[in-house]
Amino acid sequence: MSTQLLRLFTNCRIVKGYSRSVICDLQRGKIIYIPNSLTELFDDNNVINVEKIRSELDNESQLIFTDYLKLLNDYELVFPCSAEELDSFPELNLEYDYPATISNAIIDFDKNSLHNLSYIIDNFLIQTNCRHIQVRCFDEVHLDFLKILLTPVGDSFIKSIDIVIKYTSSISQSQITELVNNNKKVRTFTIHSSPINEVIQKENTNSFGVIVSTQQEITSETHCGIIQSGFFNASMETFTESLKYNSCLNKKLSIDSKGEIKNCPSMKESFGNIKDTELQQVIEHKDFKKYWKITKDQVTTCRDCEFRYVCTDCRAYLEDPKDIYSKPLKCGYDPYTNQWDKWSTNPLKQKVIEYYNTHSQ
Amino acid sequence: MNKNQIKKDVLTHIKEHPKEYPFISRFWDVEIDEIQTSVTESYIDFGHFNTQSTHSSPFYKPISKIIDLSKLV
Amino acid sequence: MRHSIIQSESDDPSTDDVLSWVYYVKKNAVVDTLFDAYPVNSIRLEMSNKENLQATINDINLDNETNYWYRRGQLVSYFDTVRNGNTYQKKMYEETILPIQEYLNGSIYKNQLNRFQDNFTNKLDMLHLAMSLHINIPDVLVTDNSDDLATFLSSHKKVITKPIKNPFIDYSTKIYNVKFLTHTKLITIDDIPKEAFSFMPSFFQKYIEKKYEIRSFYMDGVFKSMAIFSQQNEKTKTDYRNYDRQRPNRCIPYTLPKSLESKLHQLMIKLQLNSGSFDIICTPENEYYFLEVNPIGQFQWVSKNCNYYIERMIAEKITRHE
Repeated sequence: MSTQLLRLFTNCRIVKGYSRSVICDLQRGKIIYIPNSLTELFDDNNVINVEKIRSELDNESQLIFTDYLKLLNDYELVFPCSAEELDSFPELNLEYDYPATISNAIIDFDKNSLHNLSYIIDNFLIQTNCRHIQVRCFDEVHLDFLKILLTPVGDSFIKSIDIVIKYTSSISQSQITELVNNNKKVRTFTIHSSPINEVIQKENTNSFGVIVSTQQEITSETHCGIIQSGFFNASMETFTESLKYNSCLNKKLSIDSKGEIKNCPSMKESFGNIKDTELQQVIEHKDFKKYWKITKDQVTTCRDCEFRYVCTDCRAYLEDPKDIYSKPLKCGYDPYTNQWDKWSTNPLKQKVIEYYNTHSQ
Repeated sequence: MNKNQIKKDVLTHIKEHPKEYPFISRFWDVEIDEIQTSVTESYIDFGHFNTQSTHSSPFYKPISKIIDLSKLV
Repeated sequence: MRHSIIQSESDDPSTDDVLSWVYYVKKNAVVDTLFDAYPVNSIRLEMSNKENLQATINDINLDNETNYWYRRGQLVSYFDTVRNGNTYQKKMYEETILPIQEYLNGSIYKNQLNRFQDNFTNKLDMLHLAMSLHINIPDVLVTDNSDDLATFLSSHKKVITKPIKNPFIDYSTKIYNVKFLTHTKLITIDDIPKEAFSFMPSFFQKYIEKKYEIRSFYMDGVFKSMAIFSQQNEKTKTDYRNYDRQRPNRCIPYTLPKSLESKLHQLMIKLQLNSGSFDIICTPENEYYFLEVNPIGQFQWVSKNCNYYIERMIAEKITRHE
């Protein structure tokens, strides 16, 4: 590149962590690792002045700089921009907005649950414009239960449903496959406590129809809250949301297996039971939106992590259950060393895990 | 009459009767599909919106983090 | 009657997006949707000095305070079949139904976004108007013979040819659907056979070198622009619509110069359009060339790539006055 100024594409956002940075490519959904020394080469307009930098570097650094430029070009992260053109490319609008009071909902079922999805859609989801839901079943269900579940989903404005059920010999794999393929709103179908780990059906071209079987036993909502890089995603919505709102709880509504209406089934506070509580009471409750504005920038350790704007977060299971601003319990990443450790076997976290297990429900 | 024959005939006609086609016709890609009379792709409905589609769109992030991906490998 | 009417296609994703926003920005919004080939079975129109316009289409009551968005689709009447009948029936149709349809397809609401008539905006018209407003256009040639084309090519070296109207043409026989697909073709003097020949009048334009292309969504004087970097990719170089799904072209927010925006705004006024999507080229010399404005084009990708919330803008406009 002979041109002087290289501008970062405005939909590529640099996020600086304690020990390293990432560039979140919000258009192509990629997370690219870069060293902090490269981050520092960009000026306030996110421009790298190639000639100016080269004139200040020694021979060894020149080679490194060439490598940096190659990385930026390989991922198409920068473009040549003259000084006069800078104003033609305005800064990206980082506002987050979403056309719903509640954007996503979790509905849990166990063998004692009395609520039904049809009622929830008609009385809670339509008024809040909620079109994306996840249903989690901790105990075995019948095929009929699933069919009854999916009928109001298909008839309503719901756009996607993720289903998690417990393995049962009463439903065959082919019955599940048929059910999923006949209901195009099913995005993922997961069978837990299964004898085998298997991807039964891959996602189709529209990212729907995944059927997965896992040996993981999901006996209750206490299994939730796992921070894993496989769930990280760089998109315009997740990024802009995480700047001002909580990455998990913002605009979320949940009905736990006992019918209690909560921010998420793993949180303690209930805003009433589905059998006798109106939607308005829940939305207008002074504490219902309490956690919606806790950003990763406010959370201990997370504020130094380069993944903070692509992470899923969890406010229910915390390293310090008494401190709402503490790091998620089930995160094994250390942004100071860039290492991922197994949180579940970490002795420091064991005590807290016990605490949550004895205090659940 | 199979599709390839029709395609051939169409392209030949274009070549032999240029006056009946615009200039760009010599570069045309011709695609021939059978009209699906019986099997139409099923539509998804969106309730009170009255809209519909052949496919839906997913939510932009996972709704809950209960599936342990490391156990799936 | 202060409610909103949306005329579109039931499977248009942008319509679904806008509806989500409508129900969010206006709780208890009252929306009537006229989708696809919408059958009008009964019609009543009343105009008076006091009440202005009051009408009923099927069981939907409306007046000129009704908010209206035309996106896609068309109104069809029971009598439409009649117009293919004998001359007498045809004449009857033209005298009775057609004027009503034309009226409903025009601008009759105080707060209206686009209208059915916008489907018929003429490409040559808009190029002519752009030229008269001193907006750069790539030199145009419409001709029916190869000699003219050769002359044009020798002065411009690189020329593109494209259909004047739709990017592809669909034909149906009893059993088959035949599609002719080619959006834009770059031609040079080598593409012209030695022997002179004639063809149907075809559209040619000088090929303009691009630094990047700009897609700008316009509504009520406001421009939401996006720059498309298509030159890095051989597949998309000539026309960014030859999509590369693996590595989509870089699309980022852009601001057109105020002077150009003001001329384009004048163009929209002359074309009687209150909304449309502009296709513009920015050359390596920083010159802007107007290609076309599509009154009812795709804006979802401009909105999403640049985080412009165009769907919210439309929803707010069509729920105004409620």
